[in-house]
Amino acid sequence: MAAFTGDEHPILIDVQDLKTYFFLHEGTVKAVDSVSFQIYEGRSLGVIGESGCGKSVTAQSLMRIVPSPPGREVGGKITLYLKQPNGIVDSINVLELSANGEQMRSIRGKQIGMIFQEPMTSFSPLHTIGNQIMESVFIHVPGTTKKEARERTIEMLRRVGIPRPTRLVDGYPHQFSGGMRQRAMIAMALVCGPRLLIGDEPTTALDVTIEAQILELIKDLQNDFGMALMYISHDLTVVGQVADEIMVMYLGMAMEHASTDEIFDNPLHPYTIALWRSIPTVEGHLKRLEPISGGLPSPYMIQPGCPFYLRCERSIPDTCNASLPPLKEVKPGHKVRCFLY
Amino acid sequence: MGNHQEPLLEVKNLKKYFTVSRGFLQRTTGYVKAVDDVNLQVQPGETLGVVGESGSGKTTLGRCITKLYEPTSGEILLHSEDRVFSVTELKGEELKAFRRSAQTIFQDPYSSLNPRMNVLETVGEPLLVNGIARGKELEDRVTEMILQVGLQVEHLRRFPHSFSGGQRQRIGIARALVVNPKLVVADEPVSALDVSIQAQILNLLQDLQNQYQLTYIFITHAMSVVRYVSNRIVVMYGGRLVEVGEKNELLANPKHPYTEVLLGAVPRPSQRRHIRQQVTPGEPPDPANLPPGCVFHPRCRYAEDICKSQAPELRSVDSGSFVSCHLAEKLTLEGILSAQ
Repeated sequence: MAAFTGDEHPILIDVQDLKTYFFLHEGTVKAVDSVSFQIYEGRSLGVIGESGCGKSVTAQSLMRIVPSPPGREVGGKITLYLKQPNGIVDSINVLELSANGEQMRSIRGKQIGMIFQEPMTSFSPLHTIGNQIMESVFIHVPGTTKKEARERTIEMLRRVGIPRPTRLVDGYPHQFSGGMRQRAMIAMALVCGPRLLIGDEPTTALDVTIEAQILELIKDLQNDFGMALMYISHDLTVVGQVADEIMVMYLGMAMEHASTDEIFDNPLHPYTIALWRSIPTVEGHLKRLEPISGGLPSPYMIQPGCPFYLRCERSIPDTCNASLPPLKEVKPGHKVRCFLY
Repeated sequence: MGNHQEPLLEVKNLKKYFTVSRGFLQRTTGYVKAVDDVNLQVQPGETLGVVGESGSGKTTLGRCITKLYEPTSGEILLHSEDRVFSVTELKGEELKAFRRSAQTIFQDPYSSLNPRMNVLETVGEPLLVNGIARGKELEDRVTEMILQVGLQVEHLRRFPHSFSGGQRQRIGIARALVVNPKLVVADEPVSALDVSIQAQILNLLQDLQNQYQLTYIFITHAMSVVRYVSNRIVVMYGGRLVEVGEKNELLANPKHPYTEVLLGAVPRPSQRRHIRQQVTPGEPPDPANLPPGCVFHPRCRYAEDICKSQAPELRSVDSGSFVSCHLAEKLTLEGILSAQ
């Protein structure tokens, strides 16, 4: 993204041609198929797409938590740039590390924090919220005393808006409401000060007034900590609240990648345009929704050409189904995978 | 939507309390007031949208109306053709006749279908149970119905597992509509579906409404969805109706502070990252432990002393709008201006 490079926002993560496949009895599913993007320090990347588009698996690949078997990162490069205290920038190819090795474990939690859709299943029901957050401190900050870790945890709980943190630090997950659990999960993800926070549909299960609170909290924390954000959702309007730029995914591929304003005001890919026409919004002219024809094709069925070909209104016969269009920069900072441009 | 014709459905002082029991003897220690004193009328042919957050009582209200729950007190009257069903007192043959008039479409197309029944059995079951059709006639009616909802004849013998989420919801719709009901309660019918499939199902529901002159009670948490489908909107909070109004009026000029909060929280395409939306602190109340006075007062930025002690009644503020707020006349609230 030309618009976001420069000294102001150095690259934090550079993903090149990432391929994550799932090897199943029924066949191979190319969950992520040659996806490339960059995440810049302090900036927000939104990733949107329908279920099965590969948005979550992309994030899991960054964290190296793809369920394996059956999944595996089979190709590409994920370079993490880490600034050392002495100012030298180290680069690490995350895919070359052992998924459960010491180095990867120190990246997870310390460099990259992640929050998930369902906070109930992300916490152990048997341990207090405080102990689970403190565990992360002990792992990533060696030599921390129990008292220090507890204080740090209470401070983090206070920062994410948990009321009476000195008492609730000893509470169990079932004693927290859905919104409070999501706040506690954010505290757990951020307690070691990661450079990148990944949110995988973190507000999807929440009520709309609570969703607004959590989105505001995430934006505030991002500003305070100066961290980068990768925000995954199926909801374009939610992603628009937090993202500087948006990548639209379909069947494992990036179909369009541009600034949030461009995706909202000037979408180019027929899939992005069709998505906008199919979603109900609370404002604008009220007219009949225009559904995208057909359904998602089977992930086992590999067809040549554009993955959106069968559902596309503007497909060009013998062109779009013959070969895969490249993801091309059609104007500064706006990339589209489509033969129309 | 003529306001002077006889309503299809009347809900009067409806209450549904669930008991909370504790201890070895399972003594009743409290009540969850899921629906508390709800009054409501639904006109024939309209879509009444019911919105609210989790725990607001919207699903319980819907289930009381179709007699899936037995209300604690209150009255529900359904006027169907030349008869009136008093829903709370139905038994035997009359209950069966009512079931033909009022049906439910459920949220989750994965758990609401029996995995051991194929489409013919699933959609045909209501016809069989109600003694409407059997054998060849049943198959003909099921076939006609599944074609109406966009499925094909070859789907008849297939089982739920071979269908996508959108197709399963079509099966659920066919099962609800096959008995030719007057009133359909749709409880979050598109929430579990992918965005591109939601539009297909919303359009289908509208087409079927026109074709069969259906009346919908459309329950959802999504303000954007309710705007597309409804004629009138009911906003629920803490088991009560806080506002009822014509759709455009309610969206543009909300009269209850909670409606304002709800509208303010919905992400809008015109508001991006730079524009800070209004964020209201606090969470919806625990229905087992509702605050005294107005249920919304702990989160309300306009609350005055009276709100803490006296529960406001739902009252008419201008033609077609009802609101339960002591301060309704005094407040000028912000809605969604471009929602026309």
